[in-house]
Amino acid sequence: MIDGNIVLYLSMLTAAVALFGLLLKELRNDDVYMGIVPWASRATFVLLGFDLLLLTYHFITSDFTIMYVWQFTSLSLPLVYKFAAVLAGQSGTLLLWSLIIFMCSTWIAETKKWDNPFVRQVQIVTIITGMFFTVLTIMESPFATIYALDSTLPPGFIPQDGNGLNALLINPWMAIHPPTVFIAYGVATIPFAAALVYLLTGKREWEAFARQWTRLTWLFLTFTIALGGLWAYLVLGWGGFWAWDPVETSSLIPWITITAYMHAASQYRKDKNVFNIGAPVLAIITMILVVYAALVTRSGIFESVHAFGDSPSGMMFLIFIVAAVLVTIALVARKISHEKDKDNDNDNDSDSGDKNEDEDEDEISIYDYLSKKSIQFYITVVLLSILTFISFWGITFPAIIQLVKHMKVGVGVEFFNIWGYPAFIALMVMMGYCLQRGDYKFKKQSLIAVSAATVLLSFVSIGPEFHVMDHTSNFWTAQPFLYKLIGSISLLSMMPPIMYVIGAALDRMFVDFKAKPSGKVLARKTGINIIHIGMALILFGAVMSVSFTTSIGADVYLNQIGEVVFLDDGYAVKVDEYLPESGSGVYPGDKISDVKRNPSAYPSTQVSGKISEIQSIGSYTGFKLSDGNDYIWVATGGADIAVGDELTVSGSVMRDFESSSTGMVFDAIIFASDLSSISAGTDTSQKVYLEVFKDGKRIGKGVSEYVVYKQGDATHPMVDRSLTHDVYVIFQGASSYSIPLTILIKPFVNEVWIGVILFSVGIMLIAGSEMNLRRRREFE
Amino acid sequence: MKPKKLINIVAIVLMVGFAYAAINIAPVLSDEENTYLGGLVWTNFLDEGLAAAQEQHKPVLVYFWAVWCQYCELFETETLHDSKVNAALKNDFILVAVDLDENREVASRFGVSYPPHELFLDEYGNIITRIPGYVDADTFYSVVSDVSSNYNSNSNSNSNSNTNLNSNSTDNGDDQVEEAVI
Repeated sequence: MIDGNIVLYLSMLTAAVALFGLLLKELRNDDVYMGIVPWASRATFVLLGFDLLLLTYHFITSDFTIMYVWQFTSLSLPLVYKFAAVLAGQSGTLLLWSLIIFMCSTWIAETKKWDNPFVRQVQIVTIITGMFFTVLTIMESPFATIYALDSTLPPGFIPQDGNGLNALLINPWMAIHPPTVFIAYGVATIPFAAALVYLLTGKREWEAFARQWTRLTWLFLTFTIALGGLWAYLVLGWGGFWAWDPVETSSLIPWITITAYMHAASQYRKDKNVFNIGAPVLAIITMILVVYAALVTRSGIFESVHAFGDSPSGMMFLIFIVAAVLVTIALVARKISHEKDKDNDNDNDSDSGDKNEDEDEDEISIYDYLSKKSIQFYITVVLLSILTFISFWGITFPAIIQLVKHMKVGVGVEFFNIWGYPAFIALMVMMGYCLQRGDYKFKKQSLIAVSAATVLLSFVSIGPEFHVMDHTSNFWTAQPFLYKLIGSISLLSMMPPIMYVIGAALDRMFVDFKAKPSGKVLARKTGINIIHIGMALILFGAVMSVSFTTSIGADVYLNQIGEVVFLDDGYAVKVDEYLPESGSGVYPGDKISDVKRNPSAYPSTQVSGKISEIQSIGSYTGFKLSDGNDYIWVATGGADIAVGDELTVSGSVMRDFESSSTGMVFDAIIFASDLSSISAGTDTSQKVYLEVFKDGKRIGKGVSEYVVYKQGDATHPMVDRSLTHDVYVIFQGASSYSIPLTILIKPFVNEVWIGVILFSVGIMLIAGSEMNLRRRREFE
Repeated sequence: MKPKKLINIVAIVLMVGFAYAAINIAPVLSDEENTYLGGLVWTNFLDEGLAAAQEQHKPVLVYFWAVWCQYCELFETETLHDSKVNAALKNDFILVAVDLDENREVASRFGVSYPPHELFLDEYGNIITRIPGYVDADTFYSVVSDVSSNYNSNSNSNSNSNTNLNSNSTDNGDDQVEEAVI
C-alpha cells in the first residue's frame, strides 16, 4: 500500500517547485522555470486529491492500523458515514483544506494563464497559503499509524474494531456539512490573496479578479452555517438551530465580514477611491477570521463537540493569525502614507478645492449625506463591523479571562441577543433605506416614519415574552441594569424595519421586471433583491422561533399507549407505538452469526448481546447470548448474571463441543475470559410513534427517536413542519414505567430556511449573471 | 467634523464601551476548586464527591457542562434555579460538576458525548440513571425525587450493587410513581 505521508511530502515538493519558479520570475524576471510551473501546480493538486481518495479508501476498508481511521470509524458504521468520517477530525479536514486551495490555484492557472503578472502574484500568495496548510496536514497526518503513535503496541497488532464515530455526527446533514465548510474556507484564500497583492502592488484589477471567488465563498459559508444549524436543530434535539455556541458564532463572523466586503467592493467597483483600503482589509480579515474559526473549532482554547482533543495546529493557526494581522497593518500603514504623499502633492494644486468641499459637507443636512450611496454603504459596513465585533468579543473574552485569571465566566445566548439586536435593527432600517426606490423626498419621509415607528414600538409591550430578553425567565431577575434596559426593548420594534426591507425589495423587483432589461441585468438585480428579502425572513423567523416557542412536558405511562393523553393549554398527545431497542444486530464486536458460521476464523472473539437463557453446563455456567439476529452459547466460570443483561463477551470459540457431564452438544461455544457490561456501548434505539393534538385537532405526527451508539447517545426528535410552525417532540429515552416527552411548538422556523434558500438562489443569480463576461474584459 | 469621522468615532466608542461592559457584567461560573452553577456549589472532582457520598450515604449528581454550552446555561437558569429542584439537590445529593473541556476522562468513562448531561450515581460510583441533554424543572424534579426516595429506601440493602452487571436500578420505583406531571 502506498504511504499517504510520502504523497504529502511529494506534494510539498511540487508546490515548492511551482513557488520557486514563480518567485524567480517575479524577483529576477527569469523565465527558466516558468515552463514547469503549471505542471508542478497541477501535480500538487493531483497528489493531494489522490491522498484524499487514499484516505477515503482506508476508511472504507476499515484499516484500523491507521490511527485516524481507528479513531473515527468502526465496523458497524454504515458505508455512507465511513465517507463522512473522513472529515470527522482535524487531520482529514486539513487535507481537504489544502486540496481546495491548490484546486483554486490550479483553476486560476488554467483559466487565466501565467503571463499576467497580477495572476502570478496571486498564485504566489495562494501557493504559500496552501503550503502552510499542507505542512499542518503533515504535522497532524491522517496517515499516522497506531504503531507510530503508541510504541508499546506489538508489531502486527490490528485492533478488532475502531473507536467509532461520535453519535452526534451520524446524520445526513453532518455528512455534507464538513465539505461545504472547507470549500468555503479554501476558496476564501483567493480574495485574501488578491487583496494582499493589491495592498502590496496597488494593482486595481484585484476586485474584479476576486469577485466570483468571493461569491463562491459567501455561498458556501452560507451553506456551512445553515447546514450546521439544521444539524443542531435535528440532532442535538433541544429545539434550537442557533445557540451562539463559539463554533457556530465563529463561522458566522467571517460571513459577516465577507458580506461587509461585498458591500464595500460594490462601491469600490464604481469609484476606485471609495473603500480603497476598507475593501481589501475586509477581504483579508475574512481569511484571518476563517483561520480563527478553525482555531476555535478544533483547538484546545475553546472546545466543543467539534473539538476532538488538543492539537499542535492550534499554535500554527495562532501564528498564521498574528503574522497576517501584522503584515496587513504594515501594508495598510504604507498605503496610507503613500496616499497622504499623493494628497499633499495634489493639495499644492487644488488646495482651495478641497477646502470648499469640506465646507460644503458642513452645511448640508444629514439627509443629504444619507442620500449618497457611498455614505449609505459606509454606514452599512460600519454596522456590520459592529456586529462582527460583538460576535468576536463574545467568544473571545471568556477565553482571555480563563487564561489570565483561571476563572470561567458565562456568556449566554442573551449576551449576543441583547447586544446584537439594536445593531441589527439599525442595519435593517439602513437596508430598507438603501433598497428603497423613488425620489429623495419620499425616501426621507419613509426613513423618518420607519425609524419613528421602530423607536415607538420598542416601548410597546404585549406580554412578558415580547422582549429582547424574556421577562418570565429566571435569568431575567439576575441581570444587571444595562442588560435589563436593552432587554426591555419590545420585539414589536423589529416589524417596521422588516416590512420596510421586504416592501422596498418587492417594489424594486416589480419595477425591474416591468422595465424588461436584459436577462443578465434582471438576474443580477433580482438576486440582490431576494437576498435582502431572505435576510428579513431570517431575522423574523429567528426571533419568532426563539422568543415564542411553547414548551409542554408530557409523561406518557406505558399502559397509556394508544390513548390520547391530555396536557396543558388544550394540547394532547397520543403515543401510537413504542419500539424499544429496535436496533438489533448493531451490537459492538463480531457478529454472532459470522462467528457461528465459521468458528475457525475466530480463534478469539468479542461478541455482544442480550442473555436470553441461563443453564448450568457441568461446572460452568452457560448462557445463551443473542444479538437479535442469532445466538450463541457462552460458558463462564460463574458470574452474577441474569436473563436480560446485556454483555460484551471476550473469549475463545470451541467447535463441536460436547459437555461430558451433561451430554449437551454445541456447534460452537465461547469460553469467556472476560464479561463486561455494555450499558453505554451498545447501538440501540428507542422509537416513539406519536401524534400531537391542539384543541382536538391533530397538528403533528411522526417519530421521535433516542439512540445509543458506540460513542454515546443522541436524540432524533420528531419534526413536523409547516409554514407557520414546527411541531417538535423530544424523546430522551423511556424509564421503566413511562415515556417522557417534551413537545415544542416553534413558530416560523421554516422562514429561516426559506431565507437561506433565497440567499443561495440570489447569489447564484448574481454570480451567474457575470459568468464568462468579466474574465475576458479584465484580462485580455 | 466630517460625517464619516463622526460615524467612526461613534462606532469605536460603542465598541469599546460594549467590550468593557461585557467583561464586567459576565458572571463567574467556576474557579479551580468549585463550580457555582444554578445557585449551587459543586465540587470539580468526582473522587471527592464519591468520598463525601460514602460518608453521608447520599447519591451523587454528576453534571457535565461546558462554558460554551448554551443549553447548560438554560438548564442552570431554568431548572437548577427552580426552588424545588434547588432545595432537593442541596439536601439530598452530593454535587459534582464536570467541565467537559477539562475532564474528558470522566466523560468518556460514562459515555457522555455532549453537554449538558446529568448522571445520577450511587455512593460507589454505579450509574443509577442518566438524563442526556436539557430538561425542564418539572421533569428534572420528578427524576431527582425518584432517585432520592429510592436511594433512602434501598441504600442499606443495596450496598454491594457494584457487582451487579445490570446497574439500571430505577426499576425499583414502580410503586413510587410521582403524581403525574401531565
